[in-house]
Amino acid sequence: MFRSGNEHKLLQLVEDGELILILPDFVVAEAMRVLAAKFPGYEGLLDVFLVSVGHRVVAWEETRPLLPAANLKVRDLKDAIVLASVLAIDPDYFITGDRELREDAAACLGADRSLTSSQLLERLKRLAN
Amino acid sequence: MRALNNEKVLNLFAHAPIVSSVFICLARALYVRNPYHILVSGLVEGEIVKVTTKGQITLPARIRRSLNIRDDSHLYVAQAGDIVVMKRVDELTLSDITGILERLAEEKGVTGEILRAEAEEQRRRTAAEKNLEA
Repeated sequence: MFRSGNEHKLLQLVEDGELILILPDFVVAEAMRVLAAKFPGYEGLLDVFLVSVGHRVVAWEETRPLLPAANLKVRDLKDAIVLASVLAIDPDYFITGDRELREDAAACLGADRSLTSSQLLERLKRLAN
Repeated sequence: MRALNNEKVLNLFAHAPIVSSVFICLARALYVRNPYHILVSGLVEGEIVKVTTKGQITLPARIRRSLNIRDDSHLYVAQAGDIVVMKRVDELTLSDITGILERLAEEKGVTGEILRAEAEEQRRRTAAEKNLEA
C-alpha cells in the first residue's frame, strides 16, 4: 500500500531532490491526524520524512484570501481550501487523484499543470528524453 | 532477577527496524543468555535519569554530543521487555518509513480504503473549520 504505486515513485523523486514538495500547512496537519488515529505514536514519521526532503509548507494565512474565489470554482465545497492553496502557491504541477478537483484546478492552472501522479511521471519521463 | 519472555523481547526488537542490525544481533544473543547482560556487559554505558511529571527525561549531554542529537532531532522509542530502546531517526529514508507503515498497517489491519476514509474525514473537518474561519 505504501511502497508501490505512482505516488510512491513521485515521493522517491522528491527524496532524490528531483522535485520539491509544496504542501499547505493544513494538509500536513491532516496527515498527522490520520497517522495519530490509525498509527498512534508514529505521527513523528511524517516530520522525519519532511525534514529529510526538499519541501515547503505554505501557511493558511497565504491561502485564506483566495478562499472566496476558490469557493466559486469548485463543485465540491470541501475542495475549496485545496484549490485556494493551489491558487496561492501557483505550483508547476498540482497532483491529485480526485478527478473533479483536478478538472476544477485545470480550469484555473491549465490542463497541462493539473495532473494525476501517473500523468506527471509520464511528463517527467518525456522531459528527460 | 525477573524472568522475561525472550520471544516477546525478540519480536519487539524485530519491530524496531531502525535499530542497527549489528546491535540487534548482539542484543539478541546476549538477551537469550541473560536479559540484563546487555546492560552490565559494558556494551551499553548507562546513566540514571529522572522522569518528570510530564513523562519527560533529559538525555545525558554525553549521549547527545556523541550522537549529535539536537533540539528538533527525532528519536524512535521502542520497548523491549522492561528496557526502553531509543534510536536517532533523522536520517530515515522513504523506504524505511514506508516499511514501518506497511508493517503497522498489516499488524493493525489498516487497509488503503480505511486510510482513505480517515483522510476524507479529516479533509471534511479541515474544510468546515477553515470555511468557518474565513
